[in-house]
Formats: sequence, C-alpha cells, structure tokens
Amino acid sequence: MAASSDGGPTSSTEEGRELIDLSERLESAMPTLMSFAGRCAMPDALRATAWKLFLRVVPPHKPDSWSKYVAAQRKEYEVMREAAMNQLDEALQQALPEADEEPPPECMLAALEDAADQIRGDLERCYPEGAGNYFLEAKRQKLMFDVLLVWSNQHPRPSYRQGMHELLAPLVWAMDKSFEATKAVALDERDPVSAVRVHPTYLEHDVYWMFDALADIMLPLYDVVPDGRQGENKNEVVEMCRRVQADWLRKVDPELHAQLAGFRGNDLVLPQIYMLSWLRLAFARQFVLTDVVKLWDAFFATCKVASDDSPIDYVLVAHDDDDNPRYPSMFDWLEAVATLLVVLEREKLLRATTGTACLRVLLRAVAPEPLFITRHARRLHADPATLQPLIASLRQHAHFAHILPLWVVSLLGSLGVLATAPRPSVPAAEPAFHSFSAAIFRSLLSMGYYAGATRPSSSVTADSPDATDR
Amino acid sequence: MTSSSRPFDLQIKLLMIGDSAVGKTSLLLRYANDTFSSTFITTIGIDFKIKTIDLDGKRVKLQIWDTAGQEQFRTITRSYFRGAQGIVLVYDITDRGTFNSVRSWMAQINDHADAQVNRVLIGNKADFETARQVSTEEGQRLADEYGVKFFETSAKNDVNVTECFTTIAREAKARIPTDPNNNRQGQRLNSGRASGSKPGCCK
Repeated sequence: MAASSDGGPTSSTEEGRELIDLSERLESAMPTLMSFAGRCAMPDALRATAWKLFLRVVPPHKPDSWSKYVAAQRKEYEVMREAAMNQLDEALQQALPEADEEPPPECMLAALEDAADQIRGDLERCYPEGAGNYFLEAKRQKLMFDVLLVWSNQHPRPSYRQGMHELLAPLVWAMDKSFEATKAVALDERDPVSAVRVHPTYLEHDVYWMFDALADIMLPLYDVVPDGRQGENKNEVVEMCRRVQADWLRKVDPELHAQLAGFRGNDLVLPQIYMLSWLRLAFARQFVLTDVVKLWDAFFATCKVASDDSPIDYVLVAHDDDDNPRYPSMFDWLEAVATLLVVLEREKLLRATTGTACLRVLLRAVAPEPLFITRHARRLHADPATLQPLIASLRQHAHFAHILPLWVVSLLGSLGVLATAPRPSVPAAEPAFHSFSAAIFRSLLSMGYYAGATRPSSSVTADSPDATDR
Repeated sequence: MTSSSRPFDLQIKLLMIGDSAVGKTSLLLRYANDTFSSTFITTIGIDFKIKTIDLDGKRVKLQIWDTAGQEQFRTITRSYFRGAQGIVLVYDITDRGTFNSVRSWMAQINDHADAQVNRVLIGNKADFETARQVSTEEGQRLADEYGVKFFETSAKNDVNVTECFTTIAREAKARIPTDPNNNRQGQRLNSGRASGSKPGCCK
C-alpha cells in the first residue's frame, strides 16, 4: 500500500526509541515536541502523543494525571458511541417516507440519519493526496464513520459538515503511523507516556477526543448562519476570507491586493470561492498527506498555548515589541498561510486580465514544502513587512522560473543573492534560521519532488480556457 | 490542455446544484474534460471549469460552477448564484432523498438567482438501472411542473451529458442579448462557426 510506505524515516537503529527518550525526559516533553514541530521534523513515533498534548486532550504539564484522563475519556466514548448507534437504529426503524412525501420534518432522529448518510457519502470519497486507498479500507471506514457519527450526535448543531471527514483523516493516519513506529516499544504501564501512546484497542476512542478538540477550534469555520438578514460578512469563515484578501494582502503585498480588488461586477474575485476549502480543511488538500501532518504539527503546537503554561522554547514563536512571545493561534496560522499561498501565486495573478482568470489560478494554487510555509507564515504573523524579501524573490523568480524552482530562488533571495528589496530586520528568536537553511540544502537532494511541486500544474495564461474546444 | 485563447462571442455562467454525491462534479468533468473517475473527492465550497463551444454559429465560453451539495442554506450560497445565467439541478435516480430535495433547491433558485435564470433538471446515474428509485416519468413530471427541460444522464457512460449542457447553454444564449443586466459579457468579434449537434431530450 502506497500510504504505508511513504511515512518517511522515523528512527535510526531502534524503532520507536523517541518514545522512550520522551518518557525519560518527561519534564521537557513539551519543549521537545514543540521543537520538533517547529522544525517540521516530528518523528512518526511521537506525532500521536504530541498532538494529544498540543490539542490539550490531556493537560500537557501534568503527566501524573494523563492515565486518569485517558481512562475516563475512553469510557465516556464507549457510552457516547452506544447512545449514537441506538439513536441511529431508532431513526432507521421509522417508516421511510412515501414517494411523493416531503422529507420528514427536522427532528433529532432524522437529523442524525441525514448526518449518517452524509458521512457515508463523504467517506466513500475520502482520498487525501498520497494516501491511495488507505481510507477506503473497511475497518477505517467503520472507525471514521463511528467517530463522526458520535461527534454529530454530541453536537446536533451544526452536526456533521462536509469537510470534517478530511480533518479527521490526517488524525487517523498520524495515529496509525505512530502506532506502527512504536508497537515494538515496551513501556511500564505506570509510565505516564504509556497513557498517551497509541493503543490499538483504543485508537478510535483516542482519535475521537483529538477530533473533538480540533473540531472545537475549527467549528466557527463550519458554522451555519441562517441566510439573509445579517449579511454575508457576519459569517466567520467569510469574514476570515475577507481579512486575508483585503487586510493581510494589503499590508503584505499592496500591488497584488490592488490587482485582486480591481475586478468588478460578475468578475469579482470573491475570496471565499477559493479560500473556503483551504481554511475549512486547514490546507489538507494543498499538500500531500505526509506534508499535511508536518504543517499541522506546527499549527497544533501553538494553537492552544496558554499564558499559564511554563515558558516554551519554541522556534516558531514570534515576539512583540516588548519581547513577549506571541504564539500563533490556529486562526492566526490559517490566515498567515492563506495569505502566503496567495502571495506565492502573485506573478501569475498580476499577469491575469480577468477576475475569473485569477480565481482559476487560486483554485489551483500549488504549495511548496511545509517548512517553507511554516517559516514564512510565522514571520508574516510577526510582521507583514518581513515578507518583502520573499516577494522580491517571487518577482525575480518570474525571470528564473524555467531554470530554478521557486524555493531555490527564494533561498537565494533570503541570502541576499537575488533580492532587490532591502532585507528586513530579522525578528527576535530565530534559532531556526540556520536549521532552516540546512534543511533547505537537505531538501536539494529531493529536488525531483520540489521541482514537481513548485511547477504550476498548468501554465496559466490569463483567461485561457483549459477545456477541450469543440 | 491550455489551448490558445481564441476569442469568443459570448460568455455564459452556469451553476450546478443538487444534493451531495449526486454526481455534479462527475457530470462537469465528463463534460469539460471527457473523463470519469470513481475516485472524485468531495467538493468543499466551490470549483469551476471553463469550456468553449460552438453553439448555433456563435463561439460561447461556458463558465461552469460546481458547488458542494451541503452548501444549501449557507450564507455563502448567494455569492454562488450571483450572475448565473443557467442552473443545472441534479439529483441521483438511485437515491429518492435527492429527488425529494429538488423542490427546496428550486426554492433556493427563486430566492437567490436572477429572476430570468434558465434551469434544467437532471437525473444522474442512469447507468445504474438496478438501483433506480425514481422513475423517468416522475422526473419528467416534476420538470414539467416547473416548466424546465429534463434529462436522465450517465456521467459514467457519457449518456446525455453534452446534450444537457448544450440545452441550458442554448436557452441562456437565446435570452442573453435581450437581458439588460448582461452588458458585462464579452462581445468580441469572431467569425461564426457551424453549430453543434442538436440536443436530445429524453422526453
């Protein structure tokens, strides 16, 4: 199976060694995991555990409580699952509507049945890039169906929304990879880490609570606001789309902002058209699955960092003027990465002569590798002006596009080789810079992938129909 | 795939709506790219394709928007309907629930689309006769009730797909020159071409 072989190297000599290391240095577990996340270097063995801690499924700084939390959650999930399945059975036993009858009135049971149909329909079409048929296997379909149904039953409003299945998929995949990487590791049952490692019997239970935590964060992007009255901008996801294309872009790249804002009437570039799926799925469709989880490592690592947490040495953190760390929230990440993806297409967008042509570029936006993205998104979060070298190198890249992949030009740009704009003051706390450069050079080795990933899928000339003309 | 930007006489915006998993994306990809796959992913939000066709001597650029089935009743719906000149409403003949939803989709069109918008009703997955839950007659009757054309299609076997898009395009085209709201549509010079095939309605 393609998906099981492309998990990347996890451990060198001893499989799952990272889990034992974590257990032996429990007091520094969070800094260790966040450091991995910040460098896009999370070992498969640790990802499931890291995400449980990052998403606060268990309190990360109270290891002694982990086993108590996890046991209670597993028990609670079984109760909830039984309730949901009973509800669904009851719904299915009600008489089916006659042919000419209107759909049944909205009630709990009918709503759950609708959710079940919707979930089934979406899970049958769950093909994250790079996963092959991994999610189509019967046991995985069952697991994901149960998790989403239970969640829907617990959250009748808004219940299941399309796209949630693709938020769940990377969680399941990461759990499975972590299990594979650590199944040979023996840990004492009293070891706190043994409560937050992947237990095959409870994979479904545990992934439910991870999904629950993630859905809790993402829910505003899925929320249903009744049509009319309030106007479109009251909707959170629409508002976020507007913020990216209007506010962020204006600050980061005024030239591009003016271009996108310049189309009118039916040719309007409405940001929600291309950005909705980016945000709702946290970019799960912009990357291959092995890269999605790396991107999410970075997102999750800071998404729930609270002020009462012990200070964290985190390479991705920005600092404000008083040198206080500013951890990007999930939505900060989403907005920064979305802005970045638009900016990365700037040269094509600036050449476009219609709004429709811009939308076509953006609907097919191609993302470079996750480290590139997280690094620039973090800088953007800290200070929009710091993207100037990137924009300069994108401008340069327009001339070198046929010779060098984007990220090489960008690297040269950030080293001052190509950039024409003045280099910005480097934000504080950037120990990652050198490791980033090193990683870029390591990445050179896998150039085939990047060359493919950074090359536009189709050379977009403004307003050119890609359809077969008859 | 990028063909030269040949000029066109007219641009028409079409919108595909209907319940989730009825095959909207499949129909569109069959029509625009002549491909079919059983591994299409769920549409989140919206996507669109462009296809330029010769229609009754005019070169017509179709901009076809593909929506997510669950977007019904969503705040963003209105932006999708904005400016659409033709609407392709799709249900699945093997799933009665999707047929039952046709009325509420028609209500959505009433609420959000331009009053003059052209509509066509499609019963997709006609290749899957053994699982049929909605008869051709029922589909036709409902279409008659709304005064719209009706097709049963198979995106999988490429049955009636071109016909349904050509029909809605032709209906919209017939109306557009007299539509004062349409002054933004491209009217570029071009020598006309021979017309395409006649549509075959499965009446």
